[in-house]
Amino acid sequence: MAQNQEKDTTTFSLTSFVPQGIKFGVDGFGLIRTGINPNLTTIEGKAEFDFKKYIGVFETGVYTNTIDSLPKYRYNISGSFFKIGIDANLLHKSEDKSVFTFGLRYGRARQTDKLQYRINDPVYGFTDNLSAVNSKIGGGWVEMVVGLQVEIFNNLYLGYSARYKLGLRFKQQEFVPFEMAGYGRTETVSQKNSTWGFNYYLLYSIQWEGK
Amino acid sequence: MHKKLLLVVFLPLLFISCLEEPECVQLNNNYIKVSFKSATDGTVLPVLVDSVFSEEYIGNFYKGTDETDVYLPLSPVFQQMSFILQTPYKRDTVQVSYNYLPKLYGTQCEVSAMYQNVEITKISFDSLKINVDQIPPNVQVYY
Repeated sequence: MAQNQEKDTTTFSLTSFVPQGIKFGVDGFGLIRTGINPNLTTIEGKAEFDFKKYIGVFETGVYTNTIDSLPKYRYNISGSFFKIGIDANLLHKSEDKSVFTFGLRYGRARQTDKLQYRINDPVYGFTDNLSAVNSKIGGGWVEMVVGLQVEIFNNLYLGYSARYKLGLRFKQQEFVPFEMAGYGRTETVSQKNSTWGFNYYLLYSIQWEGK
Repeated sequence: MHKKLLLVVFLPLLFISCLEEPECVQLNNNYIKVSFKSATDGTVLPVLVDSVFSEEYIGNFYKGTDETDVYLPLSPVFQQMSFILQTPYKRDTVQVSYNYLPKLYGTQCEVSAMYQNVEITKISFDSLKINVDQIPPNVQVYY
């Protein structure tokens, strides 16, 4: 009897770490922005590992952008990023397979960005064109994420996630980067060291164990 | 399911509508403040400053007024500047080193200037106190 109990406990703990399914998704909001803006490329994908009540998440993407406001400045950025984290699915007992999550992420980015700019110095009375480069700099941050997903066809889901990003750390070289790949604006007047993000996902689910 | 689908489609539109472009900012950290104080009791002491100029640029920043504070402007072109303060009694020099970091706050803004690691590298005043709590540091000169 005691041996049987021990066997059952072992079986339960092992299966708890085996995902019941996996979802692959692409950020449609980024693709739309890429299609509208010829200077912008933002492609982001994700994989979700379904542990029923909890979901392991891996997200990755590339980001390039050119903001041209000459003669004031021109800013170029090219980088990639990944995020890992976990979500708690508050609707894991839902019969229609909907997903409503709260979660955390840790993000890392690597990028090169360049700023060409003009300075007007009122004291010394000169105007000059300068440039500065950050070559292959890295950065890290934390995100709090809330998300909702609904199955629109068999195994095909539509959903979004809203993210509060904070705790950005990076080491600039020649100037303060205006954007960080996967994070967004590094700092604004109203938001010091935090920002908001948004993704609109189309996901495909492969389940090998019924929910 | 349909209610949830509506939430998925329309709730993000509310979120996106809240995003707005931040306002621009002009930083005021590109000056070093030099304060004149009495060497006996430390009180603020107006000093007649005939002229203030730097070795890097031709030009006079101040013209013969009683000053308790003098502001020395840093230039983004250099990493070190020397300022000469001419009073009726003597001529003194402050040499400053610093790092210039350009920073862009918004797409509609001009590039702002940030100065970091500001240090007084050379001084010729008889008595001098540097307040390192503030960046850039304030220089207090005692006469």
